[in-house]
Amino acid sequence: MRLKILGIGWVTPWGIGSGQSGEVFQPGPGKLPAMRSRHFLDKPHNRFGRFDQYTKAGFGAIALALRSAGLNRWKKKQPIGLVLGTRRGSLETDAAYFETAAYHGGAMASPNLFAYTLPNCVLGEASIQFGLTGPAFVVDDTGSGHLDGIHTALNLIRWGLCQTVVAGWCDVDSKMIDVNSGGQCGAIFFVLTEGSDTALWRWQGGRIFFKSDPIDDIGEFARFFLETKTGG
Amino acid sequence: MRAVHVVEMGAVTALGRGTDVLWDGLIGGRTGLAPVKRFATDNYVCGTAGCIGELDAEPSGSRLDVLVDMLFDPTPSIPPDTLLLTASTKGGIDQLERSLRARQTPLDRLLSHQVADLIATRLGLKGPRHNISAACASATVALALGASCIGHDEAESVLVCGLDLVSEFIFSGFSALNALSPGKCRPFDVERDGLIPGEGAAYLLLMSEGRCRQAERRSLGRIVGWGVASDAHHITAPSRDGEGLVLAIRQALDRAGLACGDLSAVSAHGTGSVYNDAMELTAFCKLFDRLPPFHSVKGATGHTMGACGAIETIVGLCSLAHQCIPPTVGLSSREPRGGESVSPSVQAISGKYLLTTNSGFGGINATVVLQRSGDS
Repeated sequence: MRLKILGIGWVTPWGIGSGQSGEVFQPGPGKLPAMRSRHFLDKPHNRFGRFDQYTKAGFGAIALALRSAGLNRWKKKQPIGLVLGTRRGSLETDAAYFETAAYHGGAMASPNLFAYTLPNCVLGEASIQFGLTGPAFVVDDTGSGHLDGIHTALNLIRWGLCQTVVAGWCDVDSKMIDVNSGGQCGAIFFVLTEGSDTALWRWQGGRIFFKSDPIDDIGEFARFFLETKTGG
Repeated sequence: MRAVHVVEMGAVTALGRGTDVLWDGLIGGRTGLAPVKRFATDNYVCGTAGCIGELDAEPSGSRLDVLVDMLFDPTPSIPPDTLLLTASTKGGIDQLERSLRARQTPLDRLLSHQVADLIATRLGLKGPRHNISAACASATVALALGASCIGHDEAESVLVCGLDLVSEFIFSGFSALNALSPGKCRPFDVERDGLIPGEGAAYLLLMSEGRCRQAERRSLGRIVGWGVASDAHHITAPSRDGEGLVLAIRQALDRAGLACGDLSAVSAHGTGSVYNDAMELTAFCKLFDRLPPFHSVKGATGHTMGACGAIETIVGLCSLAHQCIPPTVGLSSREPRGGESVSPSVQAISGKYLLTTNSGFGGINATVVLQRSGDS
């Protein structure tokens, strides 16, 4: 299948971007930058401050990807899907939530934190903000270059479950567990759709190619897209 | 698109072990909901859940391991090249509880890929594997993906396995959200006032027609349609207009090449919460000129979260085989919009197609259309 990349957005310890003014995607370990709704949206978002780090990073990267694709403004709901790959998911929020529930016999359990202990709730927040009605779910990151979400999304397109999907990866630090995921933190999403027969990107045998170059890592995927400025 | 057959299935719920026990319990109108023994519930809205008795004792690892051992005992015959799709909302969350209470525990079931790893190791599966997380629609989404893989010629054999535990983590959370019923679970009842959590695990082995014949496996029924759609409305509350569910049902029917009138029955999500059941009735009333017989199992099994789609698909296949749907346990005063189509008694059905629906936090809806075995 030929594929077309309509947009990109990311949040990493090195910064927030969508490739608009020569910004370079750089993944890595470390602390994510402070995130405010104005970094991602044209208007203030009244719940953004209550999001956990995982939701802020994932929601922010999805918002930037949709803006760079010109799909962030809508009047009618859009049949766009959302697929996220993650290793740790909401684990840090799970721990923070259970700290509120574990004492006083659960009397102080936080309903606000509990709502974010499902790793797919970040996708729900994005679907509400941007009116996205396609399939939305999370797959586990199996360590294959953080591309699990992308491959799953490309399957959704190929199977006709939706035509356009926002797909990527999101992980934030967790004190709970050493997950051996290379220590990378951040979120990066692409807006993907099927390309024309002349598109330079293709997906074949479960692998992404730009021309004849195979792409085996989500960072490479971003760099090829940004450096060649070729979406189709 | 190629046919997708279900060739083997198994379940463990609060009603007991095995699909026959599940079906007999449901048809008999029994409930597995009982007072929770494994943690104190004094400060929660209710003290009832659909727990599996064998999981009450605290294991050295996670209760998930015990649940998986129960589900796959005796070990079913699954081809080693089978694609594995697990569906769980919180996996071995009991380990996090114990760890935060400074009790000794390994932390090897907390991450979602570890759920898939546990089952692959238990069954000796060598194929690819993934866990799908879509809240309480997780297993239904996994079934849609598994069926797509076979339907589009990308796999010959797919094992879909949904599983989730009753834990203080989820119990306290639902209580804090005022989502628990202080009394009993009463799906589609005018007096319904919340859900009751349950735990369980279920698996369905899907095969292509060719592999089914080659392996001399008997088809228990087919998955002929599926749909997945978002409400784009609210994180923890369903859309009042039911449009996300309507969309998911329409997708499933289109894929199956069927009309609403072709469905003989619906296995509804039916959590017993005020807003979920109202949303489902709204969606059904928009789609059906005359509601087909429908039911919910939640008053019998509890709300088994990530597992419920797999459990209810098994119940749907049994319903088609027996040409009846189980009673909706807990129902006494029907919602007027449900009319006589939902009942506290067994209802006879007539036909070869049944729809199952599930919805979850994040505003996700997923549906599957099943076809009776022997009908092509």
